[in-house]
Amino acid sequence: MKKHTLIKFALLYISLILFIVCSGPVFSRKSITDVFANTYRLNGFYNEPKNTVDMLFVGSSHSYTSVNPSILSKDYGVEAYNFSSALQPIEISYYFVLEALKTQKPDFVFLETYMIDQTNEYQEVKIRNAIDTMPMSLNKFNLIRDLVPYEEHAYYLFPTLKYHSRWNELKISDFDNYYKNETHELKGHVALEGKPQAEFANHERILVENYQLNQKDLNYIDKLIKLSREEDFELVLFTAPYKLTDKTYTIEVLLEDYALENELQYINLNRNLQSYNLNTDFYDEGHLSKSGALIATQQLIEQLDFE
Amino acid sequence: MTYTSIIFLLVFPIIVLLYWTFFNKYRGCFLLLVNFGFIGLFSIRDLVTIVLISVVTYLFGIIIEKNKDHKKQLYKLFVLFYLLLFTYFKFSNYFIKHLNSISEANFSLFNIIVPIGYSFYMIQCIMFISDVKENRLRISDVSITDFIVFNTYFLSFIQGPINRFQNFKENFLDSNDFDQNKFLRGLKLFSIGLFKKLIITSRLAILSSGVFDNSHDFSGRVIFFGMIVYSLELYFDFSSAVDMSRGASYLLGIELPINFNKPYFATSIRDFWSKWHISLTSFFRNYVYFPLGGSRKGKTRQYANIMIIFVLSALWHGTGLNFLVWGIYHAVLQIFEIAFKVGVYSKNWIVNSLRRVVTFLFVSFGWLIFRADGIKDFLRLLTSMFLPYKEPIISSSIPILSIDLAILILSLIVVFMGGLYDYDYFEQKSSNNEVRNWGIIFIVFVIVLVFGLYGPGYSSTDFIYMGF
Repeated sequence: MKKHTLIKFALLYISLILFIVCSGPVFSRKSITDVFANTYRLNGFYNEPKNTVDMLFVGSSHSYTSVNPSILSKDYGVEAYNFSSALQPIEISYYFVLEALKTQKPDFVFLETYMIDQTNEYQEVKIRNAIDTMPMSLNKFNLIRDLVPYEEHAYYLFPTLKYHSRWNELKISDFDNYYKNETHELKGHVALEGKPQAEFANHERILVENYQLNQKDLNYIDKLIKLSREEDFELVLFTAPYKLTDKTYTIEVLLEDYALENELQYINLNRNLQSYNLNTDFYDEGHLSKSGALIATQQLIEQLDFE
Repeated sequence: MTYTSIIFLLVFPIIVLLYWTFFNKYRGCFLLLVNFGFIGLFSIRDLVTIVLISVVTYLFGIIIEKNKDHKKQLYKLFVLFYLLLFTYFKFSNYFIKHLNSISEANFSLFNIIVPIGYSFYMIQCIMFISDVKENRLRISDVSITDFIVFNTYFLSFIQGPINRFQNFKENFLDSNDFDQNKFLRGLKLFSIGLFKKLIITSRLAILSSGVFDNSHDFSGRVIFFGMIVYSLELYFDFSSAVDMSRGASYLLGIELPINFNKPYFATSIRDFWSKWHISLTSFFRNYVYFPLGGSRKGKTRQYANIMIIFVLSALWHGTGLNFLVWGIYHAVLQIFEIAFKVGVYSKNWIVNSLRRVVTFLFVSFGWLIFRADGIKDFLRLLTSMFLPYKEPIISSSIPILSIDLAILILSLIVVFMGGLYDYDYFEQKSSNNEVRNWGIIFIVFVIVLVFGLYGPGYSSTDFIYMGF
């Protein structure tokens, strides 16, 4: 009697764990049909054929709006993927590169730099945007362990615990998860419509005195440099065009020094703002439109030193 | 760590399995380790504190037993020790804060970190030495480790129910054979407790916070509504914690005392206090009220004794003036009932129904004192309740979704229609249909998982009575 009861108890426990694990993909928040299609874009990477990506882009929304891998493929014969997410902190970019290296061997990894020196405070939205789509793995576990407060680990490891309140929003598509086996036709790029912007290209910038780059971000870039040597790819820093402030201008200047010290290429597309039409090439002050992305992608590849 | 935390829900079933299997022959030692681990997770300091107090209590017991001629004086001295310690933990920070505000000084004696659970286990210590004094318990029958296992019992030390050592000894130390009925009862009780906490209490908290956090914007029936909702919230929050504590304890074969017995069906204030927080009320009745003379020394003395126990109860609950007013309020009501011979129960169901409603309203007014931000705020809420208010009760200022309101109402109907508020429900033998038994338990857990309000951002999962 005791043995049978304890076995049933153990089965009940296991059943509940299984329910939590299996219902995660159903309850998880998905961004598929909206213009940013975060889930679709990131998931698409996992369906790319192995060892076909020559250039990998990681970083924030500045990355996925400014670099169009289709242009690289069509005009330059380079296969690329924009494996970026909104507000992606530098430390997550590191884990994204680790994730990508499981199935791809890119020659170049581009780290978009907007998130350098943004706040290091834990913000759930930044982490969730990036990792909710990531399949469970040791890499994901390490990311959660390193970047998420301890008391919230379970809510990242078991998405049901976080997203169960979506029960009244569930649709058929939550159950069939059709996007899981599909590639993203724009390879992670988000093509936005242009909107006229007020003049910001010629505003004179002043260097902020005694400014220092955030050490935590630099530590993760150092890790990427080390990884690049181990995995034989070149790490390139790049900055997409956006409206600068004195602080972000100073960051760029310091990044140039940093790149020089570490023998990294740094492509700063903010130096070419005069190439862009403020009426059509920007979606807002921080993001390019699809026509702006065409220019930025071309500039990027043309400024890249392949040697 | 609370009963609704992920860690507890993931780890406790493993503890249960280990308890009845690998550690079957060493359950006492295993339970002691689990107790220490649980308390240690809060803080090592709290663990050291409770162990030290337990050891000191045991020594007090020995001293009392070995000095029978002076046991009364010794007992009073030892109780004074606990009262002083309790006062130190409970009131030091309160006095320092008020001293600083009055004198504009910045005193900070030293960092007074209040140990968790002290309000509960200190009462257990007082009951223990009292039972030794009254020869209800012999120290020679109790080992120090037995007492420490009892006093640090992880399933009751944070928020009760307060237990007597003899009950624990009977249930665990003397005999702890596996009982399938008890086990199933425990699972059901725990799952219903979880349901009450994460489905009902969490939604009631949204409603009551919506009213009281914005109480200056409301008046009339909205304040009244908030008061009723808060009364329900308190009951479901506290009783759910006890359900989970008792349910989990049943899984280890240990029965904890009942703490609620349909309190809002009480027909008088005296009746209410025989049904609400029964373990605390029993302590004050048996270990304070009766030793003071109870009702045996005339009416004046009886009224004074009632006032004393309710003032003590108020001080046990909290440090603010509103707690004291709440305690005195209940004492006055009880004295009134005795003075005017208000009976506990009538054979007429209409009279009883009316009494239940009136009693519930009086109790709810008392909870309003609890909830208010001080006496002035309570008086403001009370007076504003009688002002007109034309807007809907549930308005855009109260942030609850219609779907959550529907779930709340449906859940309340299920609980009341299903008799799940009645502790007797779980004391009945389980049905012989195994599939039904386990199936229902599984479904309840899944319902809680899907429809419960919990996780980061849902602070209502903290239990109100943990604050004591």
